[in-house]
Amino acid sequence: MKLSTFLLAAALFAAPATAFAHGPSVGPHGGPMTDAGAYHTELVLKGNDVVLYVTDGSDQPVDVTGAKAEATILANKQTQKVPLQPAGANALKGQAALGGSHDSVKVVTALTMPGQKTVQARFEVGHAGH
Amino acid sequence: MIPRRRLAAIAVAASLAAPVAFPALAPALAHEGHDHGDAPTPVIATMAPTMETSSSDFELVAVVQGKTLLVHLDRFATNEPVSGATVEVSADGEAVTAAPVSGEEGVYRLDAAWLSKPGPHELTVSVTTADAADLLIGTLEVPASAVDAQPGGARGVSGVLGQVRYDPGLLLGAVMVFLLGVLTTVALTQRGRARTVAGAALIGLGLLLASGAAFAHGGEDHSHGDEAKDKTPGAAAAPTALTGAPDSPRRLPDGSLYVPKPSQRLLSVRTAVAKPQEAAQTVQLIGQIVADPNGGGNVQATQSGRIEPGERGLPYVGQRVEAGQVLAYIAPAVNVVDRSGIQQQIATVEQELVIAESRVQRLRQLQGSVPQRDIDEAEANLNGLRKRRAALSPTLTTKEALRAPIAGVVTANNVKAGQVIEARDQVLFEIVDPSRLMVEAVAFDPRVANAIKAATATTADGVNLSLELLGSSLALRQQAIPLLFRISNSPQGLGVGQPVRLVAQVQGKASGIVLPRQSVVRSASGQPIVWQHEAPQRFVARPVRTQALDGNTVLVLAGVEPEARIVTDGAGLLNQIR
Repeated sequence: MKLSTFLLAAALFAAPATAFAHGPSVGPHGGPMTDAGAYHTELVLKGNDVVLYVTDGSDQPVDVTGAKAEATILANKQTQKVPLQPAGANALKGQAALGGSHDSVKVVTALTMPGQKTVQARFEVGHAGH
Repeated sequence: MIPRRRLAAIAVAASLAAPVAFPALAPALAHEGHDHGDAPTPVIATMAPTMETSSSDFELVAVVQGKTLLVHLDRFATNEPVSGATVEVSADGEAVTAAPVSGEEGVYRLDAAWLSKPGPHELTVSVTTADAADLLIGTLEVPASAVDAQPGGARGVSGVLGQVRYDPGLLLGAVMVFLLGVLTTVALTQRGRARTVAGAALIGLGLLLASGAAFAHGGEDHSHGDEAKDKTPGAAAAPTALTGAPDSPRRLPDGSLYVPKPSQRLLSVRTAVAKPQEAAQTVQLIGQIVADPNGGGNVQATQSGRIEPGERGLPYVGQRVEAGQVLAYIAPAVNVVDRSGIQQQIATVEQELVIAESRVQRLRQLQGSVPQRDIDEAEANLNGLRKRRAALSPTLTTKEALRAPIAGVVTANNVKAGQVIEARDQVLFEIVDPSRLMVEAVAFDPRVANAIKAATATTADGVNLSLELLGSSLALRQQAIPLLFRISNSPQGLGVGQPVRLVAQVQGKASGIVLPRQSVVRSASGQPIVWQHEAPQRFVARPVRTQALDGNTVLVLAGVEPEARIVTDGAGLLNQIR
């Protein structure tokens, strides 16, 4: 009895101790992937196209109909804000002036899923990250 | 039974404390299917709402002070404050450029309307410096109480409770954990009405806590916080006490350090990123400074006599002398028998000289009538006698000059004016050339002696010498092999006989992380540790195994992960934080 109660108490402490993991990884579309709130997001820069793919915690695509997003892009020491619109399936798309160069471009996305709070994510493109 | 009841109370108190003490961990409960692998980092309770974020270039700490946001900006790798940067903070669709705070390096301030709105704010910080530009993000939680608080931003238990109340996820977590605690209490107390009543009281208190109603009045300062602590054993048991002193550096229960940015600036904490390297293996030896045989000289007399000072007097210890400089004269001591013998010889020679001179004169007058051979013989005889007299006469009066054999500094003077010395049996002066000193060390292992390639030495007062091996003796001295090194960079102030500690590089490689010597400090238990800069305001002690590389650097063989940021300057000061 005593032992089991202590085990229970130990379990109480263990419960909230779920961790936070970060670190750049490469997503299925070849772009850097990172956490944004409860979601995983992947950013792909193609020419001047900015595409944000949204997946859930177990990397399953999430429907982004009705979602809003904005990308703040820092390229060549210039900051620009690009609105991203839902573009089918789990992608949000927008147009930026990147000049074709994707070396050490830093992007911050603010994603608002329908009925949820805005979550931010940070990406480094053309850079190994830290 | 009493300890058991106490245990029950502690269990409940602790389970209440858990969500309060670790508010940022609690959302983990509300996460769905999100797999995160890292170990949890303890959440540091700060007095003012704080946001910490970093990128590969910058590290940023933003602190709310009343209606102002103070942004501390540092380099990520070195922890140097970044001055002259353009810092623009965007939140809630409003972008504000922060102004540098005069007199403080790397601190920027801004006033924004959203700072007075409670709740989480998603911040995007754009940083532009001469050499880099970056975007950083973070979430700044402005608790309800901090908004009402007086400037200075006091935030106590009520602040966290307000936050718990504000966030449905947190509240749910708190209630769940609390209910589990209640179950524990019931299980522990089993039967007995009194205990049930006690349990119920605890439940009531817990409910009050969870709702935050009890302490929801904001603007409390510490005396109130202490009262709250008395009422809630949970908060008192919380490891990271929320009702502590204002933000000051402190040691956290897990042994890590919380050091706010202003304190880091004050201690000028600097870091370096750990890079694995190959380095030569080393051994440590004990040695001493000796004089180079070509850079040191002794002055001795070749005959006995009386010391007479030179033109510039007798040399003092420490005086610089030139090669060939006369240090002293010796007036030869000739005993009575010798003296009379010499005087007799002189008298004889002078007598013969007078006869020879008159003979030469006579023969010259008769030139032409006497054979030329007789004249030549007489003249040769006269010359020989003159030379004998010249050789004899000064023996009683000529002094021997004692000259400095090399240029250098007089290190010993064993004579005084007028002192009578015996020939050869004593060293009168010692001269050492301070630019040509050597180090003699002893190695007890012949394999070490043969493997040494280069070495560095440190004197007791911390002067570093780089050494070049000249050779090792084949003859053992007290079972040790003497090794001789030349000092390549001879600094001022070295003395012959001074002990030095040598770090000699031997053949073979060791791989590890090269750090300056001052990075490695001793923990309370005497273990060598380094401090790792883990989060912007958090430092963690890492026990290490080290090997000296040279006088200034050590090689960390184990205990530090590559890419970790290790404190290089200020480690000793960090180590003092209790």
